[in-house]
Amino acid sequence: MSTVTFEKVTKQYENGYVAVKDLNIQLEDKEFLVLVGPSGCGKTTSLRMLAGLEDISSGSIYIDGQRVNNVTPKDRDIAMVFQSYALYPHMSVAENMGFSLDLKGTPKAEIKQRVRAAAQQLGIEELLDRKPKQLSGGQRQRVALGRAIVRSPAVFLMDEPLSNLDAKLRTQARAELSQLHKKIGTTFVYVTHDQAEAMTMGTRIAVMNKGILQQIDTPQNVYDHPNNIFVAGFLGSPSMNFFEAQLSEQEGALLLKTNGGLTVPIPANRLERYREFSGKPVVFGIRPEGIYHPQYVPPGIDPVAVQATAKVVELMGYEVIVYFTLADGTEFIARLDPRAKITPGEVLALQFDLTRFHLFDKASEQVI
Amino acid sequence: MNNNVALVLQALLAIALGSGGVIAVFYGLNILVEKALPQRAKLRVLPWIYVGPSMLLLGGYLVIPTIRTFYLSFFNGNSTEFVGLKNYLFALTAPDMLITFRNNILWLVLVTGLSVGLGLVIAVLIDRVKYEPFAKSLIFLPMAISFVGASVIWRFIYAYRPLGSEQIGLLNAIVVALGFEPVGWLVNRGINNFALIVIMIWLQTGFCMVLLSSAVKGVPDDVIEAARVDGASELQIFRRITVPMIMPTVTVVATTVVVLVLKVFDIVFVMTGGNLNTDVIASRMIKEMFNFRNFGRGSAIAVILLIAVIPVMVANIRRFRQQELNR
Repeated sequence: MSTVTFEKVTKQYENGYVAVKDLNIQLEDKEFLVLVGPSGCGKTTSLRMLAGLEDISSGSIYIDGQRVNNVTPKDRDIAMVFQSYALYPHMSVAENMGFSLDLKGTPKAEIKQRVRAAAQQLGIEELLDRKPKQLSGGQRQRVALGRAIVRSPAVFLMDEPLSNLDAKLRTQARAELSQLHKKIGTTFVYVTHDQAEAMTMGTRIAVMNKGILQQIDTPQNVYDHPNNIFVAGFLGSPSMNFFEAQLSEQEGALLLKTNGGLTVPIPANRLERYREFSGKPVVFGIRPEGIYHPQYVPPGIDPVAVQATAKVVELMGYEVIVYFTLADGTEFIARLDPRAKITPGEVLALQFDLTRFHLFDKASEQVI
Repeated sequence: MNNNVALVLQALLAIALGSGGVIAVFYGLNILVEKALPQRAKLRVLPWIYVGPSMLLLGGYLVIPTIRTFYLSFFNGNSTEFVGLKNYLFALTAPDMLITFRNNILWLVLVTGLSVGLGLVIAVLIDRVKYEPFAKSLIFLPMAISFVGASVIWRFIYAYRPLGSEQIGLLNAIVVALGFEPVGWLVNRGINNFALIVIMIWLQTGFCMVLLSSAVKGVPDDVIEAARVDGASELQIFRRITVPMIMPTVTVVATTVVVLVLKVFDIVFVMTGGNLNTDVIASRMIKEMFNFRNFGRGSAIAVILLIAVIPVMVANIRRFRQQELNR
């Protein structure tokens, strides 16, 4: 059982810089929370405050209901995996993994047995006698993980543990970490700037920007229902297309006109939601996968035709990423069916799916 | 006044001629080789042009004297009669010499142990001080003072006047102010060696601290934080993480200090002249050679000193090579 609570946590450095502002997060037992955001968004600072490596300027952090603001890292019952792995270079793998137990005065035999068990779990038994210098990046990452597992901590903290691995290894390690979380059933807090890691691993993800929590929800909900323009643009690759637009009312119906000359009728089921923004500047957002090639339109969508010129075509094999421009030069990106043969310069009547668009208030950048 | 100007000019001239001369020699030889020799020979000769002069200097001023010292150590006082190992027998058995060796061991253990130990502790502590550069320069400052200069300073600190007269020595002034009798720091055979050793520690701690401090800074923050999360106290981090990680530097610093201590002479010479059981090997050697004019004995002591230094140097070089390999 281990819950984690951030209550109005703020971190302000001596030079006045506010790294984290008024952070509130409530973590249930066995959750896998991913803190995600661009660099400098305060995600690592939040993690370090939870670890006790950084002072908390104001607010409180609770682990299992106990306020830990003034508890030293060693008494918080946490384990942390660092981005650089931070292995002790003068110790063997086994010594690295057993160090925390040794400090606690665990009997040698038990240390050995627990280290071996953890090593087995991670498939690094044959490395136990080696020094960190003799290991590859992937192996080091496992040892760092092993060092954390051995302790069976209340909370598992990870600071971009996969960012030093190559792409293939990273995908593999991602899956392994998710499995590990299921197997050991401990609360995980995981920091990353990689949205693919956030989407695939977290039971919930917390998107941060400029020290402020933007949204916290399950990955699917954050992706499908972003709270604001930042979250909408941050998750998804290529990111969501945004068009500045104006809502106008015409005989009871709402029409969206973008500055680029695009006109979109608002579907009936959203009329009530948007009516109060009639006449105000808004931002229309649609993900690249919400745009279809006229020949490959699936059933069940609510298409509206948009004329655009293809500029750059990127063949990915399983999809085609195409950069389009509207008549006025506004650019956007579409992710199309790979069977569509598109040549740069071609003018297409693309189909925008109106069941999956987003509308934001331009002034507040919040979703409407 | 005129005299002084002439002196300054002379000094400048010496610098110009000295460094200018060296440059001229290298430049001239280089041109000579470039112009006079065919391509193949040129490549072979060129390195020697640059290495040669320093090899000649080292040979003339280091290698040959060493060999000659070794040779002289088997002869009598004025180098006229072969005496075999008699000088070595003296050097290793005479009561005066045994005291000398005892002193040297004291110097070695205390100076190396304390200056490296203190240097290490200060290096770790100073890492967390706000005014680190200032504190560091303060501790490093004695390093800039010559041994003789330091000795002069410490003579004032240790100065002794009989009870009743004004104490001009700092230490005795404190001792008397506290109501005790003044102590003859440099005369009392129980403490005079330690009084000298303190000077060397004062001089060397700064050196150790600066080198060790850069090593301490080389320990990644992540590793320290990982240890903190793993449950280590600050003392455990120092003992089990920091010290093992900077061990290579500690060894290099320690061996450097050992070599320096083996060569120590100036402090003893200035403070006590080696009297009252304070002689060390180097000061004893000078005494035998130039005071007593016994070249045989002096040379034998010099050879012993040389042999004592060799293992330390070898260890140092090995360590250095290993470190280079690990880069």
